[in-house]
Amino acid sequence: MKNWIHKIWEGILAGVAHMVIALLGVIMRVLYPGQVIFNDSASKVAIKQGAILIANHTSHKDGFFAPKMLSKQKVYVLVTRKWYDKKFLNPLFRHLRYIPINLEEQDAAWMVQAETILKKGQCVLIFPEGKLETDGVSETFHSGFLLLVRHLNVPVVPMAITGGYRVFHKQTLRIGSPLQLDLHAKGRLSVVLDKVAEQCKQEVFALVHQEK
Amino acid sequence: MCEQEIAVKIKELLCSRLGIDEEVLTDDIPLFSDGIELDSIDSLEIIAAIDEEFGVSMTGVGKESFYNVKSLTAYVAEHLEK
Repeated sequence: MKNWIHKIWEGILAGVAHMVIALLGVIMRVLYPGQVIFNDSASKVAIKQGAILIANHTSHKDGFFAPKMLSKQKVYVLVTRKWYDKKFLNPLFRHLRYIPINLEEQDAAWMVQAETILKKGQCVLIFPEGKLETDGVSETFHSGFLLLVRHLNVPVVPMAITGGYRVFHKQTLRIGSPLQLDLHAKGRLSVVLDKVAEQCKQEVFALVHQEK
Repeated sequence: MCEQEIAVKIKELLCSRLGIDEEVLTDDIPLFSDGIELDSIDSLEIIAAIDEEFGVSMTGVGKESFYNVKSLTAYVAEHLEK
């Protein structure tokens, strides 16, 4: 009996979550008319087949805006537990395409979840800065996502989100070419990945500056 | 699988997947600060490697279990399905 009630409750929550997100989608489209620009058609193919998407992180709206702009493909977004576990947001996150990551401890559960998604040919969007950088410049890209790339050999597609979410102004998602990354170079893993993360950072910010 | 076999396998994993020199990697040397100086990315790789090799999940496990090869071995031995 308890199980049934729980299932019905979860079903209602899922329905509400989808309605809220659809409504937010309409509001976003009106407030921030978006455009997607592909620099390279190879990225279209990569996204269609499943890829890790990396982007700069200028606003909390990014995790909603970018997947909406790529609505032909299922895009899951990595979100910190700090947000995922918030009382009013958790029912939404749980029933939509978000993957929680705990930055406070050694959390590998997100990798397992992301692996399943990528193996289905879907995409995972990651903000490697790990925090908001409203002026679009960051010191470092965290390299954790590269472990996943290394294991699965999935393409990494850089993206730049620009526009500053000014009401009734164009918001742009520019998508670069899939990156060629040498993740199996000799040496200590963390050093190799840090170098590649730096390369990823340069690629993303080249796209950001292309847009400015 | 006995503890000694587990320790050997763990050392192999650490050397091959993290690029640690096998001559440096003793059972007792600390894996993180004051020792081999691994970082959080390496620890994620250790978690993934141990999960793949032994089917033991170490997500959320305290850092004392990651202290050295000995402590990793003890954790895996304790949680390995018999």
